[in-house]
Amino acid sequence: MIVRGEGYQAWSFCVSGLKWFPLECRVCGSRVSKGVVPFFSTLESVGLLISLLVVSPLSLLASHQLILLCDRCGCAIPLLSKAHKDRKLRQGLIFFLVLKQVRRSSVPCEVEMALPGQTTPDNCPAFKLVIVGDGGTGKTTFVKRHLTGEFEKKYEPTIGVEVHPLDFFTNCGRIRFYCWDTAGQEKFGGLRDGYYIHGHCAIIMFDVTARLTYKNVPTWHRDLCRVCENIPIVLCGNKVDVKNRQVKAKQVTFHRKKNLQYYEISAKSNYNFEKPFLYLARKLAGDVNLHFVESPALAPPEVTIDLAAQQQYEAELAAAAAQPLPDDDEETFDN
Amino acid sequence: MEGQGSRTVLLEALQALYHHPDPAVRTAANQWLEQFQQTMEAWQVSDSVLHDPNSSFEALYFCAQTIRTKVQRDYEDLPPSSPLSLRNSLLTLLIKFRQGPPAVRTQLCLGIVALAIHMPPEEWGTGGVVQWFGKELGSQAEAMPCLLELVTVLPQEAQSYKISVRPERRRQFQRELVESVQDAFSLLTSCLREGASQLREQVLRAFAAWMRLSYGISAATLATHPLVAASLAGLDSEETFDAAVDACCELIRYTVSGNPVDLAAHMSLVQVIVPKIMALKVRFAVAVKTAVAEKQAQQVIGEANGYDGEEDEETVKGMAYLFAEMGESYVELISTGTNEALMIVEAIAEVTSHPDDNISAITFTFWHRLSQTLTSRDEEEHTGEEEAAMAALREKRITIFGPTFELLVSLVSFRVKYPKGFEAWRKDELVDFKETRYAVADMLLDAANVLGGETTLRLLSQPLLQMTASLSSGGTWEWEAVEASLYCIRVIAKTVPLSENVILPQIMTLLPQLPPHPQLLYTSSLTIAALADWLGAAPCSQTLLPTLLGLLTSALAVPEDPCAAAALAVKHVCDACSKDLGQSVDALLELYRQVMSGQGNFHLAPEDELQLVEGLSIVVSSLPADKLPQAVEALCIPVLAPLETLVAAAQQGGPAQTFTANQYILHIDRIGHIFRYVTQPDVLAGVFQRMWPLLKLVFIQRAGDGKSMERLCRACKFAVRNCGRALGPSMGLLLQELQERYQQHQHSCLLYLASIVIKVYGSDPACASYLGTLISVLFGQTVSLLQNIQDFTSKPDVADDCFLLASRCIRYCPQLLVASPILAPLFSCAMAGITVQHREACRSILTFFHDLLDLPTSHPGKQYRASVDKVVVPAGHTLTRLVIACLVGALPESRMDEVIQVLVSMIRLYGQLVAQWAQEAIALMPAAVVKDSEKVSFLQAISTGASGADSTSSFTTIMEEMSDVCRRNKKAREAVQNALQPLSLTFSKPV
Repeated sequence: MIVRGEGYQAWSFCVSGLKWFPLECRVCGSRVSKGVVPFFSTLESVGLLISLLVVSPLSLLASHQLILLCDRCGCAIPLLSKAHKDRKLRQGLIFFLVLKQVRRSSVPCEVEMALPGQTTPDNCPAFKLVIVGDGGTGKTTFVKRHLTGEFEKKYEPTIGVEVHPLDFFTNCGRIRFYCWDTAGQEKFGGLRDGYYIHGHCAIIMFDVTARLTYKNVPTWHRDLCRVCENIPIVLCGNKVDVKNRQVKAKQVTFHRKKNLQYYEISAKSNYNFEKPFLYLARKLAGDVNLHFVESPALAPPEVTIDLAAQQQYEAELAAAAAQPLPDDDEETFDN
Repeated sequence: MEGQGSRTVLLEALQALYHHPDPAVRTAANQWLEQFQQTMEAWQVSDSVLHDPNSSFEALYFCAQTIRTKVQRDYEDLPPSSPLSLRNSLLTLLIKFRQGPPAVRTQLCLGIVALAIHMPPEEWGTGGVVQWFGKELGSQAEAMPCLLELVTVLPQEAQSYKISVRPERRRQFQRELVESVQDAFSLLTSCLREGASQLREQVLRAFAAWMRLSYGISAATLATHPLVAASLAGLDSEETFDAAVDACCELIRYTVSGNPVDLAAHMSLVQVIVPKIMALKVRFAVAVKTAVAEKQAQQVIGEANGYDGEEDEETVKGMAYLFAEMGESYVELISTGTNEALMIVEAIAEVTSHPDDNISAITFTFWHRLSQTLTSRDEEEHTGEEEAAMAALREKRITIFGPTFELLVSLVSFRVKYPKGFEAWRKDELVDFKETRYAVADMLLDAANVLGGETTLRLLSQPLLQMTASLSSGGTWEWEAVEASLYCIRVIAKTVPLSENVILPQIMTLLPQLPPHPQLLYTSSLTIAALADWLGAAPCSQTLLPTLLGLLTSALAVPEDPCAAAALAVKHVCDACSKDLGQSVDALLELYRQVMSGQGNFHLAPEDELQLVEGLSIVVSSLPADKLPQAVEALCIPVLAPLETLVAAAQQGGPAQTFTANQYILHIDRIGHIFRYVTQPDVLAGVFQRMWPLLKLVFIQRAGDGKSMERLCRACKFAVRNCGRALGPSMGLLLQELQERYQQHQHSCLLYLASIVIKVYGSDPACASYLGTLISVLFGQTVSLLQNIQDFTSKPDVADDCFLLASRCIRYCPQLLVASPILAPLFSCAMAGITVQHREACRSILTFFHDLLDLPTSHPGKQYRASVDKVVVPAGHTLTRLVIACLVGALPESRMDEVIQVLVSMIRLYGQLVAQWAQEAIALMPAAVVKDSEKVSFLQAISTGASGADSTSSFTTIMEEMSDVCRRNKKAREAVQNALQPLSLTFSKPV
């Protein structure tokens, strides 16, 4: 028996930190051969179990109309598509791991897994994260903070797409994001939404010092949603370390949409670097208590706008409003 | 290439792009696919893959996306007979994929809509595109979802710049759609009547999309329209809720559209929408109640389970968004304070009361706008009588909203209190909590602006003062409550009048008596910082200051947050109370000495130490002359001594000894702070002179280290700026050093420092020869460094600061640059780099051209006309061609304004000459891309501009249209760039 996504990815499931039990087909009684599913003492029938699968972790799976297929008798059990509200069931499940893809060989599966290659370590759920936004908003810099820790002073537009695996360690184990860093600069370059397919989650980046990049956010959002329905998305306003912001926090209202969260970040100073990933991980896992247990190794910040600085801003909030515009010298030099 | 062959490669490439582990293989696949999408063959191959029943989902999606991309962008490649058969094929495919996969269906719809924009209107029958869609698909019940999706994306794509049509056609299409709004509405209405309930959501989405184009429809028509009724009713059903929220937001937006906003004209619709949204209040109130109960339960069990009420979290948020949208859109109306307005305000306050901080915060923007609307004064001049009437009205409204804002203060201020068990929090939880506190802080300020500082202070200090009073009857401090109260008071401190003499003296007296809890020390320190101005003005400051400084000194010894806050407070007190600190100066300097030399038990981070340097620099500057020398010495020694030791160690250790940039930066930044905050030029000049030998050694030791040099230049910048001419002979030494270092290592910060020098001394004739040498050395060096576009791309910071310096020279000392032989090579250099993609570098170059060309047209700049001509006129045709190349695609569209500015400056200076130059460049553009009529209107705009008939907005429009035409697709852009060849132009290099 395998779990098959209709027109989407195929997954098999397991749960970390819990007992492992084989799953039986409700109709013919055959047992799962490949992969395993969680068992809870409170649950007796497969039907219940299935509804629980959907409730919790990958809330996004719900929108993919998953069904369970028995590979002996072929019976199909639809997984519920509406988030389950039974709290006891939800509590039972802590975190949910996507194991391995089910290969074409066992049952025809329309799509192979979206993740590049077989490099994903065992038991590490991996998600495709698409990063979009206008050119020069700092998408590449943002992902590279995690990888190499180098902040690029130069600007070299991304050509096409670059895929970076980013790992985070959560209280429920490791999780990997395959970040598809796409070109934003070229209006006609790259495959654009050709890259979005199989995206599990996304980041839309704009630059708070360039108003136009915020104006284009709705277009990026719409293009994404047309390919990936109902995925969790984070809107990131980058470069908040720069003093002459053009887009103020109170002017950002586009995120008032379903499954869309806004964070202000600064790739240069690492400010809020983890936040977008944490939000996406929680949404994908369906677990609001998921948290990172160790910080990823980030490059030392170029500029500091850590909390100490925030406290100062905060303390000087009112004073700042009354002050004249900053000297242009400060702008070109300090940043 | 034979069709079947490339089809096989296509499928392999797709497999590789999406799944291959090797990045090199993926990159190759990506390139092949990109290339494939450019070919003519792609039309046919994609079409056949889509028709093939065995194609995989990935192949289907990619081919649908390819056809869509090609219709949008390469429509011009199609032979005249093809569009009709393409349309038939796409329609057949659309019906084939009517059940999905949805992503494929969507791409097909987008392709058909792009076709509608490209094809002439007559191909779609007399009734327009919407009717045509209805005729083709409306009769088949199972095609309904496709029809609805087509009708949804049609208005969404009307303005898409991905569709490579000329601006004029885009406008025309937009007009056609505006005329079709009624058709679309009737089609949607009929879907509503016949369609199954699952279509409702789609109908609402389509309706929301069309509302963007519905400015021709009257509010009265809409008020009774079934689609509006359906949108509002959709809020009550779980299936349609999200779509209904979007549709309602569009309706709200419609009612406040137009310039100026004419709400009265839309009132009939507002009166339908608002009550229906208000009806959600009951539902929301239930959600709040459940959430409160949930939260209390959690506190008992001691664990968080996320939100788990009847309504799911996204629905609760959806309602909150709707209330916020409604409030923000109607804020003007609400501010009049009618009964209806107060009901809306009450509903939004209900949202603010939600225990989830994130949901509560959704309303903060509304409160901010309401606060601003209530307290704003317009800028126009008024007679005294009008002024008085407006003030009275403002007063009246503030009185009406007073109770609301008082309620808000209580709804948000409790959120800043540290809950029990916070010590066990993870870092991210702590960060979230702090962020909530910042949001509440903003909100309290908004409330204080309406209520007035004194009233707000009274509200916020109540719990604190009550607790104090209860002490005598055996009560104890609950530090969390005290801290929360102080936190809020600090936030609004600046709104309290300096004359306040009832509550603040009590609080200030209280602070030193509070228990020494770290969080409390932190907030007490920040409270002192925020009230420093009040202290400076208060009659009792002399008595308060010593004990407060004692409190701050003890806070400085508590690691992390408290000592950082205390350092900030010391700085603010030094700044605001410098005149009252006479008695305490020695004690302060001793504290400073201990902190800076690492003695005593202090734990300050480097940036917090800088606060002390700043504060002490200010205090020392205000001392009387007799005390000054000694105090200056005390200020400098703790900063200088360790750097001297470091420099000596480096000197002795020779090249083998390595010290890091950070070791130097620590000390350089402190010196920089002294330079920045000692306010008396003469005193500072003395300090600089004394430090110079040491600084010079650092310049030499760290010459190759960009990071140290940036900080060092930054420090010197402050000295130059604050000393001005008082710097005297030290200036020459500094400039000498700067030139020598730049010849050795081309750090951009040296150029930047030079630009500050120019700003300060540029207009001083006595400095002319110094500065003349300086700039010719710096520019000479830079010009040989930046020879081609690759140089600019790899050293954008040097390019940026070089042309910043050049612009400053033009502004402050044109005589030194413009008449100098260095101008010509610098000008060529700028032309070589004009197409650099780096934002700041490019802007600096464009600004340089703009400033240079504007110089001779300004009154004092007339004398430089000949010098400018000598350099610019021979290069005029080249520069014009470059600027036009930038305009039509060599630079991103976001640079457009600056590029147009350069062109405007050229025209202002050279008139018809520019038209001639432009003629040459325009003639190169291939006729297949740019029509003759478009060329003519472009040149005409330049001529008209040259003749002085100044209409900037129409000029800009025509420039932008030319840009649009040439950028409409990749082929057009490449053809134009190949013709203009901005990168292969050679620039004369005068010897």
